Amino acid sequence: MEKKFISSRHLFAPPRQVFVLLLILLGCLHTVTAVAQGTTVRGTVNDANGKPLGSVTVSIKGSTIGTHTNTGGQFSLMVPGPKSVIVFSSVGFTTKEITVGSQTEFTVALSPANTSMDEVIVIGYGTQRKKDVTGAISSVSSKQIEERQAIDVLDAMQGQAPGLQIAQESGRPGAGSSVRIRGIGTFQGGVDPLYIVDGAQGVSIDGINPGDIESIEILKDAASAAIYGSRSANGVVIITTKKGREGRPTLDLRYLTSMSKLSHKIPQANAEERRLLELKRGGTGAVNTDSLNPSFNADNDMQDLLTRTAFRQQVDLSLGGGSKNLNYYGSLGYLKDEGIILNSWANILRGRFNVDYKATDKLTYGNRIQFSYQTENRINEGNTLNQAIQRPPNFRVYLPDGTLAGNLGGRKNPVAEALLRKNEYQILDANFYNYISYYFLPSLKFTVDANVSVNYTHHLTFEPKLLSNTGNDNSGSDETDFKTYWMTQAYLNYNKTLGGVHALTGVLGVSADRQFQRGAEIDGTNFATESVTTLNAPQVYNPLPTTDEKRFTSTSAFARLGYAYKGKYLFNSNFRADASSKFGKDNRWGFFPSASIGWRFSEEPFMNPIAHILDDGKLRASYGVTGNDRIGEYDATRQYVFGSYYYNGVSGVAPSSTFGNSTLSWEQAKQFNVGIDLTLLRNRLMITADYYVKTTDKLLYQAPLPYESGYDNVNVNIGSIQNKGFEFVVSAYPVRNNKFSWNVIYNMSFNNAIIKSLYGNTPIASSVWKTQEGSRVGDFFGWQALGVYQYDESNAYTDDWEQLTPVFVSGTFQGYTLNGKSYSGNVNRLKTQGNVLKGGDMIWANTNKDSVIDDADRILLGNAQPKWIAGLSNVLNYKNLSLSFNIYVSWGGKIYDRGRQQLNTNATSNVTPDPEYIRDSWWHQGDITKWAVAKNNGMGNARELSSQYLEDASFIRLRNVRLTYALPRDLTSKVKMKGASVYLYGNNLLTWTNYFWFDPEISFNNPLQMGQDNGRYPRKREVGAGINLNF
Amino acid sequence: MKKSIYYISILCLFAVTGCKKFLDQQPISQLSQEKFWKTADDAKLGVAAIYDGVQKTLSGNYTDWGDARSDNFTYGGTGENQINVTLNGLNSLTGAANWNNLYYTIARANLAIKYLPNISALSAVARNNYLAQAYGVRAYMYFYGIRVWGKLPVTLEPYEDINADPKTTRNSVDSILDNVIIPDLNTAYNLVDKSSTTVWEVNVAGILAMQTEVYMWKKDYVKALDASQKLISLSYKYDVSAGTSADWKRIFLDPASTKETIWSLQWSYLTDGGNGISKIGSGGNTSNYYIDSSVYLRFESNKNDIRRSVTYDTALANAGTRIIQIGKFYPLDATTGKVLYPINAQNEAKLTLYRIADILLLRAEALNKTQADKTPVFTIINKIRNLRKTTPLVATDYPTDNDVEKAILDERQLELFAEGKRWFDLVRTGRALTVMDPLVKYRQKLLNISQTGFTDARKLLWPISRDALTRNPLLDQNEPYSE
Repeated sequence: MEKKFISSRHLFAPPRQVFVLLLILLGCLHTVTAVAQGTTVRGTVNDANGKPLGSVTVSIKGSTIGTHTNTGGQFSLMVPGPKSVIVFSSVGFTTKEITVGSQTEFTVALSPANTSMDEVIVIGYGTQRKKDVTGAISSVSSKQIEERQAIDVLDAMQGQAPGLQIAQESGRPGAGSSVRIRGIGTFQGGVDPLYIVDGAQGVSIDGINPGDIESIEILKDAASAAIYGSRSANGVVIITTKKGREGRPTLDLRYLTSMSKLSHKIPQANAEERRLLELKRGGTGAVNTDSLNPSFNADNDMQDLLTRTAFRQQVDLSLGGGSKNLNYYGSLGYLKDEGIILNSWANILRGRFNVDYKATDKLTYGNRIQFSYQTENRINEGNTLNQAIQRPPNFRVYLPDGTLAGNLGGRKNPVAEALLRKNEYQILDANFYNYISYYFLPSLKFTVDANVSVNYTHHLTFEPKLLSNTGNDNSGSDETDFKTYWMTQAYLNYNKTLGGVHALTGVLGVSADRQFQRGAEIDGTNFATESVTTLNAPQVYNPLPTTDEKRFTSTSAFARLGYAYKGKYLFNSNFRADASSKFGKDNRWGFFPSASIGWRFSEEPFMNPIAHILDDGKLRASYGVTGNDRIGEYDATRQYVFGSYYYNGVSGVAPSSTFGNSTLSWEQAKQFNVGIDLTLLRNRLMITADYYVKTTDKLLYQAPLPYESGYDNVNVNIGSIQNKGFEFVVSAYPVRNNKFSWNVIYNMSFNNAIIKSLYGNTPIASSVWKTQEGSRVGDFFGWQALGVYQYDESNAYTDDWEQLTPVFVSGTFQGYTLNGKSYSGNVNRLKTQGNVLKGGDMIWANTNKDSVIDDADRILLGNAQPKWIAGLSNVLNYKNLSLSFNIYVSWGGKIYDRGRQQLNTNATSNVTPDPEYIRDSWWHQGDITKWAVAKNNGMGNARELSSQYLEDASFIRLRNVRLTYALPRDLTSKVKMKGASVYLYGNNLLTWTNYFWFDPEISFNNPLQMGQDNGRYPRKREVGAGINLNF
Repeated sequence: MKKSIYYISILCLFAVTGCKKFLDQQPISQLSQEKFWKTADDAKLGVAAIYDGVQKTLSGNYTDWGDARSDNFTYGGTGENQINVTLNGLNSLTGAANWNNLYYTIARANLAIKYLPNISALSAVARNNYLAQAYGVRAYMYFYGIRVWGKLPVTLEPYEDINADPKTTRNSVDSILDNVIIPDLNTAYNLVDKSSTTVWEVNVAGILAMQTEVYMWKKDYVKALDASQKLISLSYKYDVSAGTSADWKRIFLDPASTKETIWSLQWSYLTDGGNGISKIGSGGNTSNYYIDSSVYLRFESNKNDIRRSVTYDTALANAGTRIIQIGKFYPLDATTGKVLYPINAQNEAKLTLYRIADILLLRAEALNKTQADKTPVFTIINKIRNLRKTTPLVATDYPTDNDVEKAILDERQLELFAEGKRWFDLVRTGRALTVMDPLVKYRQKLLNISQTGFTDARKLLWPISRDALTRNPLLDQNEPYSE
């Protein structure tokens, strides 16, 4: 029964459940049939507007007797007796029951079923009916989450809402995700949204089992988010966990297991190609003359050696129930997740206990307790994967005696790295939330709550001698991080409808919070034994042990006022004042107002003519100011620091390289949003569309200072970014009847972020990006590669820097031609890095038309932002079978394939380029190719950033597929189960892309470094099966 | 309803009154600025941070700036950076082109110069000696700066006001010499505790040594002679003395134990990290720079030279193996007598900044420039050569001033090999192009790239790093390294 309640709150009303309902009814049959007498009743079934309804199921409660209405809405039915109850049901309408009595003629009107518009959604400090919402809020239901085999909360949200962009940082177990709501509106103020879990801030979302989630609401526009003031500029995600329901206890048991493999292998040179490379570099290209030498004559497929088929197992157990005054929900989940790289794994145990107790009619007490414990071995991608790709294939991995080989020729052994290097985490996270609410009046509720969270992270590393360069050094470290956070809030909720038409809502409250963090680190080398890796074993402590503490506090006051006239004209307004210890004394307070209006035009009389098409229609507009306070605790204070400024045994005290800015103040994001919500065709079609302009002013970021000041940077809030975007979601039921339904949801988002202004107009530049006023965030800046000089003589230009074509007759240079005509003028040659370019060197675009290719020739080469992203999810139900699949598309934008660039620099002799490069690189005068000569001649042929390594980041991905079969009711009831289902699923099954490296989907944490792929832990292709049992 | 308003207002009251204190959070693990430069200990700690700045500035750059571009070294391995440095292919991304640490050091000195006078708990002698070190290091940093990049932005006051514009343009080399470096050294000389001979910090001899080298750079030979004379006349009696390899090695391993050294940079990997001198000799990695064959052959031409076996492993040389490690800064294994090359992270080589042989030879150079009688010049050279077990030079073999100068430089090359001096010697005496052009051409030929050589005198300076240029648009790139 549990599942049915959840699903009926949402659009999803599959016939399966109607069918199950009927089955339940059948179960009671024997009690009723005894009184059967047989009277025929007739009647008509209409909708709310008096139109006859066909195909309505008309049945007698507790019996197998039943029929359907015809197209005229008419039916006739034999009823057992006057006490019989007739049940009228139809998809999309509320089921109605009528006791027969003495009547024989019935005219029944069915009202539309609880539509999504009547759903209640959670907003800050309260709830709101969806139809009264005036902001841009997306919801994700537990049903949607169940369709995914989510590992964590973010995984559950991915692709489910427009304007929401989630990318896992890498494919390693336990990897975090980057979450962006409507683009990136900040540089360094922290880009993650604010998470509110059951009303509390500071709760670790990693500690939440996705199976425990009742709903997720994503507050996207400023008007919705501004109630959370200074922490809401990146949007707010409200997570509500499950509660027990009144009635008999429900026990759910879920189990799944899966297998995964590397989804895409990168082409990698084999030993033959490596020898060709040696030959091209001027060596002999011969095999090592000692043919038995295992060190240099192997031919390893490093990707195969390093990866494996990984298994995942997950088991969840939850128990919920309640009486009139008490409800409870508890769960325990265990996830054992292996990574596809050898020896990478994460185990997570998560528990939850939720209780609400209604002490009196007025007083309620409740708590939410959450606990998680995670252990993980985090594989260093740089030391394994990147080394595996770069390693010469002929280098040994194992010694002849079967033991692992160490470093060879300055290259690490990635298999040894994965197996022997320890990088273990233990993370303990607990959160205790309590609340008391009291109704002073039926319309006035007072709530006071307190939340305490504790996080303890322990990180242990160890590198044995075998992995060191010398083969004779080991080292290890032990880091602990202890974090406590508390927050207390007190607020009033007011909710009253006056005269039946004026609905008033209000919130007024205050809050305070404090976070304290303590870090400790011990590092050591020269371990006495490698059998003991704790930090009592080193003989040398280096660097010296250190601890560090920091604390911040903030206080707030907030208010909301809502007014609705006849549910037709809606108005909401928020105000919040925040003060934080992080900011300069004079700028401590920030104020965040917002207002929004809505008009449900479908309620207007003039819309009546199309009322049969348009179920609900609403226009919304909002404007508000949100803030961002995520900077360092003491960035407003000029500091002297110590610990790493020793000289001659004295621990020097030096000014911090970050200049403390006492004028530091809040980052503000002003957002304007207009939107429309439409529900059409008896809830078969729903459309929501929003347009927004989000301008971040007083941008918080670490602005570079001239080194001459003696400082590296200063935290400023000057500058501005603007995000403009359009997003929409269409949800439709192309087919929906009692046997078969198909729900398709398509969401699509367009967003563009541009820089409006920066501190001192100073661009923020690196070797890959240039972020400057007026440009888009994520602009790649570098040299345009035009090809490779065919001959030494090909580096020849006219005085206007037009390239000349050398003419050769039987290998002898004759002269030049320009546009096919013989050329006899001046011949100019281009230089770079102090030398003349020759055959085999890259041809760079000489944009400033001088004789040197240098920094001044760099140009804008593209942008990392995708043009649009879209998600398409489908759910098909046929009887007991359900098939769902999601497709995700990211279109446009460039990605910097730095993994490949690093392969092809030729800077380190034992880094092996990709096979295409080895085969096609320039070798002899006259070679026509796009790949430069395969050796490092100091000419910067693989310089950063070269347009040669910028690739199209577009991709289409079949993200997940799931096929579920719900066991028939009569079968499950025999074993006293409420329900059972089995399913098969696949994640990341197919990807269409032109991208060369592992995966074009990369995280976008730092707006100043967007779209760079350093060669991360690749995503896996996963196939699995699971079973859900409900008792 | 009334009750609730009552409760809420109490809450609000509590919130507002408690707020100010609650919100005033001071750093726990750092010092806020107003709490520093108060006590005698603060002076010591603040000055230690200045030296830490010198360490960070010179770790690695000691070699890149002072040796790697000269005929002492050629590239090792295939790294882009070492090829660019040794083939005259510097660009704005070459690591050592960044002056960030140099200016961090200057900023720490500026803070000390501003705040040390306020520390009343210090005795005048102690305070003045600390100040002398701050001035001395500041002059040293600017002196490195003008030799590496030429014109420089000058900051003599700490940057303390967020509203002030930290961007400045570059000042001319002459004005920096005359208005910053020389006055700072004079102030330092006046303030320094003349009785201190601590080798790890700027002492009176160090100041005089800097003066000597600065005046040599300025080609003010009279003043250079004057400063070096003062140094020689100090009561501590610095002089060359090492007549055996073991003695000579002590200059680098235990500089405090010999009167040959004036100022060395202390190093402990536990607190300072590994010294970047690993670039020329490391136990874990390939060296970035290998000894160039021209200087190697000069060492090999006199196998009795006590400096030869300290500089590199002569057993390898005798076996004809290519020398790729310089061992002079590292200790020896007590039993085998072999150099113990540390891994990069544990390199704690002490860097010699000034020693008496350096100053004596500079003095010889000045004498050569100022007087016709070359006897005192050869007295100095031969005093060193005799000690180091090489044959004395005969004055008649060096008929011209130029020949004499070359003889001095040759002696400096062997005596001060890999001590960050050779490149500046070549530039100071105007020999860099003639020495380096054929070498660079030869290296270019080896790598099969165009033999452009080293003919552009503007490239004696380094480019300014791209990073520094974007941070301060008022800076102009050195020609011909356009931005």
